[in-house]
Amino acid sequence: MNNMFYLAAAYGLFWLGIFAYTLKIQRDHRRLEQQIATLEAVVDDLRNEKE
Amino acid sequence: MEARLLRSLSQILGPLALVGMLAAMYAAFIHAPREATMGDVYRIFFIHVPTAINAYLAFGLVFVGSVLYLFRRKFRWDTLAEIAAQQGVLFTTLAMVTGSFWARPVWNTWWTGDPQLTTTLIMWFMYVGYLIVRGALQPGEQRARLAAVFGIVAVVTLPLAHFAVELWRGLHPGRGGMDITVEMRQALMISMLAVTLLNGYLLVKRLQFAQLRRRAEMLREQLRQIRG
Repeated sequence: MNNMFYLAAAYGLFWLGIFAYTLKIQRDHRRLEQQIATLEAVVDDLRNEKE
Repeated sequence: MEARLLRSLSQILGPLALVGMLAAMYAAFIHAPREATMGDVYRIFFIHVPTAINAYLAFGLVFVGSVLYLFRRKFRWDTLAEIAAQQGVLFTTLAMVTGSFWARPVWNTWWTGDPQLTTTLIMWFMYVGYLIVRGALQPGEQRARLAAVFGIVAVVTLPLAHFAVELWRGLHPGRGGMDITVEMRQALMISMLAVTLLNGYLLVKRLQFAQLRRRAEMLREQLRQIRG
């Protein structure tokens, strides 16, 4: 019985799951930071215009 | 204050989790000896057990967050419960998948109706249901209250899944079900610590994200007010 396939697959899938989750968190984080920067700039511009 | 604390925690936990996971891989593949009956496939145990324990920890946090929300009515506890539930589902999924890859060569099947496996699946469904209910409702106090009640009720599946191996006779090895050497125990402890650090790091990152989301919502609200 070649058990190495099951061992490699179990660890591989574990790391794949963790990697995909971490990547998703980082991507969402970056996208939201960009949105916040844009929103801050728009809010500042509009405030300056009103003043 | 909270943002600074989360940033510091993230900066500490990130490298610790990385070093911990590398140490766990070394301990599982090099430090721990080969098992006499199962051979190398038993090494799945070093990732399966910590992952399952961390799923319990995450679901425990859902309970804590839900109780605190009902008492304090602060949305931060509801957010903690939501994030912990998502992470608990991820860790339970990983525990079930790694367990199946161990079961196939050892039990000659991917899945059986074993009490431990069945109760774990029930627990998984319970928290997936929790997330589906949350997703179906409009954000707000009513959703947070309902989710908190769900999060408190769902906790009954935790002891059920954890003690199933002792309550009912099944195939799944329980505590003391395998003769483990000192090196194997050390490897398990290192893996347990590493996966817990990883779980903590991911949780902190998600909490940081939730804070950013609140900041974005505040800015959108300001924008609406300025535009009148």
